[in-house]
Amino acid sequence: MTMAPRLRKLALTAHIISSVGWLGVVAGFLGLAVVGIISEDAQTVRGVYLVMEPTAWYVLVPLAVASLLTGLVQSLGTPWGLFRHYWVVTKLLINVASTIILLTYMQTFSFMAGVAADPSADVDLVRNMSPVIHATLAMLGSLVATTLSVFKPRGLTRYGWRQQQERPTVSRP
Amino acid sequence: MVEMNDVIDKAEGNGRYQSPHRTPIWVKVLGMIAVVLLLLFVVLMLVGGGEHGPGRHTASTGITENVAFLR
Repeated sequence: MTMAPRLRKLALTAHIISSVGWLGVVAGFLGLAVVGIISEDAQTVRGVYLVMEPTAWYVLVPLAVASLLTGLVQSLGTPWGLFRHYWVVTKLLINVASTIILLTYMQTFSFMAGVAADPSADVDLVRNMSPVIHATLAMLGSLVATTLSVFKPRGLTRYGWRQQQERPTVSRP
Repeated sequence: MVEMNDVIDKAEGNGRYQSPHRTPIWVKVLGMIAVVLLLLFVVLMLVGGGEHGPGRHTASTGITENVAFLR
């Protein structure tokens, strides 16, 4: 099933907005995570971990899901397909893995917010390296996915190659 | 206007692959990085006694040393 050009452009725009938006929010989280580690101000440190959980629920998770869904629409509605090209499969794997890790990580956000909200907890106990590590890995994943989208490196999967051999030379999908 | 099929044909090398299917080097490199990250995760799980949840990077890794390093 191939989308009409106008619809394809609309779907592509939605996919770029959600995916690059996700990358931007992850960059923001990395900045926050670093502030949580280096800030001398106890209130700022607590604030960082308190703000992470709701921001993740209201911004990060919706963008991750939107990126995945619009990516699926984009690949299935165009001749690129979902499993024909390695770069598309790689992006799908990065997206699915990142979304699952993010959803699992929500528990950690909640835990850190709980510690930050506890006035008896020492500020050094509130500080946590975990968001720095996870946001860095998420950034790398998003950067790889974005680079793949722009360069679209050559390479058909076994499935894509078989499909190409079966496709008549004259007609195109 | 450049058609999507033209873009795909260019990505496939301006034509069809005549040689049998081969996995590109960049896929192998990314695959190896993914395996290394997965192994690192497994090692961390084993070191942490099977735990990789909340608090994993707080008490057990010595946050004060990490703070000093980043400052």
